[in-house]
Amino acid sequence: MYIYDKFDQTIVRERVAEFRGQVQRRLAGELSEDQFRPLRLMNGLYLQLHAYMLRVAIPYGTMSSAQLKKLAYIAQTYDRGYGHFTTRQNIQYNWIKLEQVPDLLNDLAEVQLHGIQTSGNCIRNVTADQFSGVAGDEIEDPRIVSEAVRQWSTFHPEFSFLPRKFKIAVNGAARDRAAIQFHDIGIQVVRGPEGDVGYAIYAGGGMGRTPVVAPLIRAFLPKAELLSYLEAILRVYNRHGRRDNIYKARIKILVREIGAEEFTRQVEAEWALLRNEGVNLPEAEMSRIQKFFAPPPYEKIAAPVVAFEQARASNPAFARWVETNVHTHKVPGYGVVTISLKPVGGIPGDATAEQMSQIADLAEKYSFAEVRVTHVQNLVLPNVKQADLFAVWQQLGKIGFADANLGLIGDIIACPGLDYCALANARSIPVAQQISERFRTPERMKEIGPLQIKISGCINACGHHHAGHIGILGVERAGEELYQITLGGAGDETASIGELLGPGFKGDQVVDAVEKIVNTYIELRQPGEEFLAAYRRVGKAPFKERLYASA
Amino acid sequence: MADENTQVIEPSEISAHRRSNKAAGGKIATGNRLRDGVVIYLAANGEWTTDVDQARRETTADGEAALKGALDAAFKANYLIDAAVIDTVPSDTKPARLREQIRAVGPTVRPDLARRANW
Repeated sequence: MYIYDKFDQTIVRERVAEFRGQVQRRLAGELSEDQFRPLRLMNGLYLQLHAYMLRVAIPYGTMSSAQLKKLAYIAQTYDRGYGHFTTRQNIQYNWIKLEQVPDLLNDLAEVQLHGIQTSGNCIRNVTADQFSGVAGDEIEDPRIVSEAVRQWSTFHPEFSFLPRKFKIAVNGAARDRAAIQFHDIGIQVVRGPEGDVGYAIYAGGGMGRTPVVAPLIRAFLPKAELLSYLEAILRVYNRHGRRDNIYKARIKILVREIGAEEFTRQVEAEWALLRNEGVNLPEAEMSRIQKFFAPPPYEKIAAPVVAFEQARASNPAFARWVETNVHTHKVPGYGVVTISLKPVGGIPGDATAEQMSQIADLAEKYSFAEVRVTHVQNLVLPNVKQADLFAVWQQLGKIGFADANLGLIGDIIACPGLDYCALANARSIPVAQQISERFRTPERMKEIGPLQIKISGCINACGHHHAGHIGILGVERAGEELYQITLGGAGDETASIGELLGPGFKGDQVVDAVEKIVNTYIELRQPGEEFLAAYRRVGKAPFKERLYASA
Repeated sequence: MADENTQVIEPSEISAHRRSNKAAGGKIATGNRLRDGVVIYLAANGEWTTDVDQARRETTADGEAALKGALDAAFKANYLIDAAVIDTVPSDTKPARLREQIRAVGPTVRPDLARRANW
């Protein structure tokens, strides 16, 4: 993975020192809150319901075991012993004291982490497929270009005051695991007509109060010209994006208002002006970055791995976990392990300092010291030998993270909701807990098959409810929490926005409603037909009928 | 003050989270302490407390004005941020809205971290 050079390290260190001074001046009363708030937000420090919240960027979701160890240390030292992994592949701490933040950031900087550009109207942490570099269906490791984008966008002076925040995602495989079409810019690695590697560019997608699936604005962009093209998109947005209305300030509104065709025309015109102006990454720098993502020294392993096959045959629980949580690795004899941070009745995405520390140990011992964060709020050990899978599974069991529910109904995305968030209108986590309890048995989960439930506690959609096969949105009506249910959303390469079924449900009715939807699906599905496919075939009528008829 | 072009958005600005509840029975003053973010309330003795049960509850317009005055002074003294006068239920300092109840107690999903028993 990428290691900071002296420039990267220096700018982070200098930022910590600068913010230390700003915090001191604020505490001394030399800066007002109005002056200070934009400064703390630029460093990822929000004020939430109970305390300050610090958001730490994990670039494209890749970190070393040493970094995860440090995140555990931060949770233990500066917070209440836990952290929350988010749908932006970041981690958030919920109980941060302003007076301790400079020391905290200094500790983070030791492992090349920070909260820069995790807030504010700038280019946010770039996200990518969590299986980058190990997926069998990959054209090219998306982290190479993600790192280039990280460097280009860090402190980019022209794009520090955009009309609104800006999110970029990169996917390198055929399967979209990064929800790129729900981003301001989605970059898909593709092969061009001559077999050369390049990018398909989507722009103007997003969730929030106006969900939009991004249109494709360029089918093939030569690899060498990515940064100039991104710069052209950002320029058009920076110039014409609305600054008069926060609800209309995202690029998706601009693209929708002028149309994808006109937007593309303007981008291409801008690009023609700057594509030869030296914005693009020099070949030498690109190959310097690429070297950091060279494959680790894999062993040559002969199939089958007997011990692994025996463990699978003799232990049904292990076999089930392998089936759901271990993906095929591009190198024979290895597996890609996804650690579900969704134990039955747990808080999606939460991990204690002890759990983080243990996972870091596992990564060090079994996965070339590398860990990934997924946008579904899970962690990944990308390089585990099949022969080690049983040991890894057993040790995950000891820390309560051996649930075999990846991609199933228990693998729920939930934003922090009204339990933590100053923005939320309703709680998300208790709804996720109730659902995971209701469908807790492996038999029931298997019967239902792949089904993604995503829950947001307000219209801003941090819980990706628009992209949920079943989406749940918490709202407030007459002082009560009320939950609207949408069906048919998808965040993959067939991206779609869920459709609202009907009137909302009270908190204690949501899980029954979900069960009715699930049962309706099971009754009407064709053999082997997954939930999303069934919904797309039959539409919402049968679900609506069932849900509201007997109410 | 941040001008339009340098405006940075924080959640509280785009949430109508402090709407008034008409059925409320009283008012208390709250904010987050600047230095550590902890939720605090103006107490009857004029100090600031983390315990909502100790909050000074007012039911008159003059009383509410006094709460606002105390918040204003504390904000100007750089003691607290996100200052607000919030509604309570009748005859108790229990906040009327769920959001404020959660602020007073802690996340409902972490009873082990609760500042007090839930109502």
